[in-house]
Amino acid sequence: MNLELGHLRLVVTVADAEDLRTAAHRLQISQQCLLERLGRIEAAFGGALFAHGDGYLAPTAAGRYVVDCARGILDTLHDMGAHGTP
Amino acid sequence: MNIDLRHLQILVAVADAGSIRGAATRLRLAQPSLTRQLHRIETALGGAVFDRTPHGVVPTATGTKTLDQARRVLADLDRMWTGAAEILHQLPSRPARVGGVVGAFTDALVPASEAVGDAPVTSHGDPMVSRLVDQLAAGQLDAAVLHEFPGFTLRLPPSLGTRHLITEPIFVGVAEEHPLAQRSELDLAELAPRTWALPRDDDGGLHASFHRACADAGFTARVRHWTTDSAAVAPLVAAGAVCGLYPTTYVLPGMRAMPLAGAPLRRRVLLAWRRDSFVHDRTEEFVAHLYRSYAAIVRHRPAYRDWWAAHATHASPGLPS
Repeated sequence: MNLELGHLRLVVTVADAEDLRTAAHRLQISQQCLLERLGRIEAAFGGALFAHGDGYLAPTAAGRYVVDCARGILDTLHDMGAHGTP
Repeated sequence: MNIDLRHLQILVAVADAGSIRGAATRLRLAQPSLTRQLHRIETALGGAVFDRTPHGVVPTATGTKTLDQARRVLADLDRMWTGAAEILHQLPSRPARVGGVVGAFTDALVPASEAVGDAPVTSHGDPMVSRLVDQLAAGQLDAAVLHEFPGFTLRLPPSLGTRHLITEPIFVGVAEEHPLAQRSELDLAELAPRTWALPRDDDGGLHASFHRACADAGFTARVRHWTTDSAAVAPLVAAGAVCGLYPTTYVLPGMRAMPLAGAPLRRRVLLAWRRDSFVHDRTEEFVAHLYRSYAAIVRHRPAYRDWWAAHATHASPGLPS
């Protein structure tokens, strides 16, 4: 799988949301679709990034690491997009 | 078009190759296709990243900054993949070790540790605060719930993080059938004629603060029974002859928890943790878990729930109402 910004935004949004429903709402996709996408991302990483509870998702150690890295990457990209754009 | 990660790879490949032709070979793209993509990327970024020269491409002034950022993102991505793989494949971590004196916050330590940490949890109850502190200092515990009674201030090593969780009233237990059990609260002074059962002395000042409270109420308590812990007081109290201290957050058979007017018996409950433990990085989250568990327990203890409702100013700021 080629990792895209959308995947990074997805894991950050899931980590920031308190539950699955909120995360799906913020991403404007269904919960089912969110879980499918997350499943593909986790498969690419080779392990669980979130512990799947009853309606909520809590990041694992690997998940917290990935989310931290993803935030840094999204910040840098935000800066890049910001400069020079009319 | 929005910039995505593969566009950064293209920019860096062009910069590294020094020419569009060279980069096209590396990226296995046709040169016209790469030229078009590069143009779209530069448009999305709002300006030229490269100056085209007869000898190849050279980064512009803003392009140099963009390329630095792109390289940083690609390095972060690399770090993210390798770091996540390391975490996912490492050996199981050592267990989180928590402990504490008897009470609802100690009971809440295990679920809170499981929620916040990633390791399996072991727990170690101990009535002796000094032993818990020693184990914390020696690294045998990661976090512990401790208590101190009025007039007995704990001295903790500065190496530990600490948080005052709550000041908890201690109730008196009387037999369910006893007339006193019909009352909503008792004065400690009216219990002067009765005999008492107390848990064996600990080192937190429980007995001394109990006797001081009785002295303030004008009597000397007749203690006739000493039990292994506060729960073991129950059978003696249920038999009706004595009254005992009631661990506020528990339910004991045959015994009714009676609040004392003015809460003369109370304890300060504290959380202490090692700064190199999982609790230190996520203290707020950990404490929030503890409070949620505690609040859930209070809701199921009618005597305690009513007491909180009437004494809201005593409530710890973190306790959900």
